[in-house]
Amino acid sequence: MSEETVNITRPSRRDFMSVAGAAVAASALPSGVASAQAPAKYRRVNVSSPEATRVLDSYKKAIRAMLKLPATDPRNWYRNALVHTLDCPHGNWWFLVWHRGYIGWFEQICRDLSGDPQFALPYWDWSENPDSTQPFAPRVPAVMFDDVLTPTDSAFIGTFDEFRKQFANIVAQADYWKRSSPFDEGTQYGQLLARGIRFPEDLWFDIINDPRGKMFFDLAHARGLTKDNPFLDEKTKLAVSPATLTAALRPTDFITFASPKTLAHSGLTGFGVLEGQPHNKVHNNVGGIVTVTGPDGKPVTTAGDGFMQNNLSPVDPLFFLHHANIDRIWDVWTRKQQALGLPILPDGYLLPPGAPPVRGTDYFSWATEPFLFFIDANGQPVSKTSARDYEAIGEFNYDYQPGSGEGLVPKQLVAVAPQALSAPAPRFSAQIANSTATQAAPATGVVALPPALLQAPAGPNAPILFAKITVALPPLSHTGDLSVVVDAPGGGSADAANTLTLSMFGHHTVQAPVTFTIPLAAPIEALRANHRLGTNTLNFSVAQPTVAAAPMLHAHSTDAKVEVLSIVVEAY
Amino acid sequence: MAGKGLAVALLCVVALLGHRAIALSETQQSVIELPLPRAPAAGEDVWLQLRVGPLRRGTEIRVSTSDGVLVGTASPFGAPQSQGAATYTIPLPKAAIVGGSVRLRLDVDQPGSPARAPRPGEIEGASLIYVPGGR
Repeated sequence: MSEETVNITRPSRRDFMSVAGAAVAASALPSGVASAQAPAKYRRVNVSSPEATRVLDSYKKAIRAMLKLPATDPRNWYRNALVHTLDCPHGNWWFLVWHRGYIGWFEQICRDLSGDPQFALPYWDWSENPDSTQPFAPRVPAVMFDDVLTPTDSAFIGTFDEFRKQFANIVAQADYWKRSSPFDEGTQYGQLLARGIRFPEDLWFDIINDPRGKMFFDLAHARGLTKDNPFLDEKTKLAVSPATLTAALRPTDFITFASPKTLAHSGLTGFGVLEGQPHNKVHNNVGGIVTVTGPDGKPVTTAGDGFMQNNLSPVDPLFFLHHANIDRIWDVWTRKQQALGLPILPDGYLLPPGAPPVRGTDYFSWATEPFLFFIDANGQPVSKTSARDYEAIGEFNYDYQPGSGEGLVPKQLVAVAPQALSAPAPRFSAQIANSTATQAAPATGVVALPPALLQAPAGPNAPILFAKITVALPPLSHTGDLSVVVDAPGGGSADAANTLTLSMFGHHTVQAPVTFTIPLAAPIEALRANHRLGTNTLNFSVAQPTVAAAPMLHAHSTDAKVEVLSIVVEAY
Repeated sequence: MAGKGLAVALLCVVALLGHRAIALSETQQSVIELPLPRAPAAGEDVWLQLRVGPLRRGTEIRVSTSDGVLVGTASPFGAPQSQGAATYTIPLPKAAIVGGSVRLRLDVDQPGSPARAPRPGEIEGASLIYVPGGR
């Protein structure tokens, strides 16, 4: 076999790699594969490692300097924290990439203001058990209670009144309130409106007056966990455990690993394991939300105070160590995916060098999302203003001292035919004959498929077919199940074997179409067994149950219509 | 095949809840039972996707096996104004699968109150997904 460099995406900081003995799909290289490339210029080290001593000294210098900068300077500690308040994504697929940019630029500010040209953020490896002879007992690193590494230090602003006094005019005069004419959603003000911040008073309401939870905490209550009680509670301990970390790294596609898709990064729809478990739990627990076992053996929860529990969390210096670890884990996952020849970004990211994202792909939606609030080491708005600019570590030019999860990255690259990665899954859309499903009549559609796909015998190498059925449900849809009959041309053979169920649950406020993904192996096998499998078409009918067949059905929904927007069969 | 793992990763078996689970929600019991559509394949894990409605500050949903082993927590984080319902993905231990079903206990940990069963609107749905283990 010959040495071969496979160029299937645009170059990253580390350019393309060559690997002997295999045609390797060298997808975009957010951090690269260390064995094949030069080391990064900066290294982010474990806060518990000996190397961290110098780093933490520099970090303290930078924090002190940022705290002392006037409020007019965008690099001021609180101004930097407000960037997170104004623009951070949570519960969506931009969570990882936005925070990479945010802490990456912060790191450069720290490097400049600390006077340490080698400075790189340390990370808090909460999954690490430094003493394997002892039970796993994760805790806030002791050093993070020292000096300005804790927001309870007197160098920080003591009260909300003082905070507002220093920053009210600055915030009111900030550029982000400028309105374009005509109005443009792709401006800072457009971004603020998307999260309901219309003018400065809205922001101050969120920070201190929102009865659902404030963001600013006085000095004595700036961090929930203390030097005397630094341990994560049991729920958080599970969330950061090696078992949860291993599970978090397990997904083989970006969206399952990260968090679900939304239309914009101001939206919150759901949490993948990494974001929802260790990320959220560490924030909330360090921020003072603690569950302990009471005297009666039952859990008792306390909602204490602390910046980490809300969106002004970057006031706590621990925020950046926490997010450096989240970013490290993304890097571990990316290298695992690369080694296995699996995708590392949303579908559609594999492009020729220099090619722009292709409109209509997931990658286009993800990569072009605007990030407009980042500030560079000179206190100026950055020129890299889209998610795509941060999909790789790129010019931040750091790597990580190995930490928890590193063992899941295969040592050897797996040989993968590049076309297997570069070719998207074949998709076949149905012709919808009737899009409305009522109790009287089903929605129907026909999908034409290559005979080789439909007729392929079952076996380990057989193509796997899925149907993605997108339906628009009525608001407050408690319509019980929808049945999907997968049938041969002509139909008429609905039974349990070729009928699938789409089921909503509970009280939904449905605001957008819902896509159900269903495996087709069982109904196809049933049709084959009954000698009813067509040569190249599958019929789909989507029906609402009758009231008699669905005793759980709510009376007010019986006449509701369900619109079938699309039926797409994908083959893998 | 490179595509196989990816294919199964994309598999999202949505809301495979039997009537029993729906009834449990409506009567405010805290145990849900989710039937598995098929046994997980070799190397495949089953995870829970729990749709959680808005919760008051500090309130969390604790997810345990029916015999009380903690498996994860739905713990909201993010600006309150954007906190509508959100889906939490929680890995499940193999022991959570018994007889073709996943049986889980949901408890609400609310500050200042004893742990309790979910109330209407706090749990909006639950589903299971299959997650492959790469190669």
